[in-house]
Amino acid sequence: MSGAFGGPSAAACSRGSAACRRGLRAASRHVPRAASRHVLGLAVAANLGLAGACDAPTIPERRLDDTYAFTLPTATGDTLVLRWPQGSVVRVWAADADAGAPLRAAFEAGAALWNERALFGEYRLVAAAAPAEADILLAWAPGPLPVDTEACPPLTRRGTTTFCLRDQDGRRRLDVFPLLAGEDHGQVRMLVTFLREAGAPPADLAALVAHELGHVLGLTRHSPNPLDLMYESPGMPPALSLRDAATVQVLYHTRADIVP
Amino acid sequence: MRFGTCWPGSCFILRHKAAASGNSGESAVAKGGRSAFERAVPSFFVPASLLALCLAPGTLAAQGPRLEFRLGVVASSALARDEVASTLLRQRVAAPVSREVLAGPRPAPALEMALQLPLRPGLAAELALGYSRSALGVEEAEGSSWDAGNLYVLQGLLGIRWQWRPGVGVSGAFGALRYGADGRAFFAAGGEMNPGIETALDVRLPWHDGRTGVRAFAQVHGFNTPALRRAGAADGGVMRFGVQVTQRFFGGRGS
Repeated sequence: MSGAFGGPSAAACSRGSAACRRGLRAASRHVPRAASRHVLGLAVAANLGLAGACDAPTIPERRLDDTYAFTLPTATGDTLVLRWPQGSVVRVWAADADAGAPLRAAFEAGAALWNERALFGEYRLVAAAAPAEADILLAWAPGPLPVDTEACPPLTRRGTTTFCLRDQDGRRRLDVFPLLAGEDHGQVRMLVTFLREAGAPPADLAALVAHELGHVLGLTRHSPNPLDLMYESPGMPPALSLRDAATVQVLYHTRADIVP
Repeated sequence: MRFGTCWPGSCFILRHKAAASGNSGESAVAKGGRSAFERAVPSFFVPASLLALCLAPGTLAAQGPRLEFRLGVVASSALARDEVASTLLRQRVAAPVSREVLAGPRPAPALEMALQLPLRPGLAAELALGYSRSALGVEEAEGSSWDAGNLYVLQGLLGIRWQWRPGVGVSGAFGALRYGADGRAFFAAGGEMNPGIETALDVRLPWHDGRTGVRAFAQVHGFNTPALRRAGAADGGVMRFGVQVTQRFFGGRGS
């Protein structure tokens, strides 16, 4: 600094010498106005120059091997894309009377895994405040359910996501499971049920719930790779692989045939 | 001494680089680990720091500081882009897949407070703090769009204002911006400080003794988030621009 402007250094002045401060003041008077213009010019040029080079962080395209199939096969041989509308908040009610609410805890953990991969806010899984507000119901089966399943009975497996389709206004939609209690008809469109093992929650409940939440989001098929959460028998602990993340990201930028 | 403590760790610039290079296997670390933006910013940062630090101790004498409030509208280029799927993948899906997804802040009101310290006639150092709140808008190339939650931007800038003509000033500043979005979307794994520079032009209006004015600015800053890096996105740049009405509350009259 002293070399540039012919005065004492800032370090010297930091020791408090009055002569130093006077010297520095004198030196600053000799700062050429061109220097300030130079700085401003640099800022303008840098701004303009960089503006042209500005390219937002870009997620590269997913290749074939980065994903697995997610479309829903039909009896007629067609495949359909099922997903929630982009930007949706999907409300989930865990009908969990067990001590410690294991279903609710597993849902919170599973939802966090999937929500973290909604990079553009395509969906968000949240806990519903009441069954009447829920889009999805998580429950133990067999057991008392707060919805009528007569028209669309769930299968009994370790973990199952059940939904039924209907045509409305020329579009396929998910049928509603009517609530059994209360005046409100409800809006539950998917029922996710889990089997207890010897009367207790299964040891891999967290992985089961996270896996079923993948189906809820629209990953209707299983991955052929055992390392993926959406493999038929997910491993422990539950974690999304890069393929799981890439697949759900492509799904939510694919035009849907079925919107709940 | 002051340079010694600041330059080697050079504040946000190098921390930004460290964060970028800490993520393995990504293209963000091309050309010696620094993006084009990171390599270009010091060309402004270094001389601006030199000038500000040289002038500050000795020249804040006779003229008092000025406090300026600014209220305006700010817009921005995209914060992130997604190329979604390759041609082969699109063919396998057998349903229309979006070609491109862009996300960025919706135009929003912005509030800013600036403290100007006159250094010499026509030249002032300026410290500005700003805040704006809007929505993180997402748009697909095919036309659909949605909001992915709230988005706020905090910024701190240090710069120099030069009176170019009577009542007309130009300024240049450097500093940092931080975005937040309630932990959603590509801020789910957090955000980080983004180094940036700003240029601005302000004009004093012939009312209230020139204490009222209008100001237009353009900013360029680096940007990335841990979630985007994990998805393979390299560091990029973002441009913000806006117009503001300014009001000085004490200190020198309009110049």
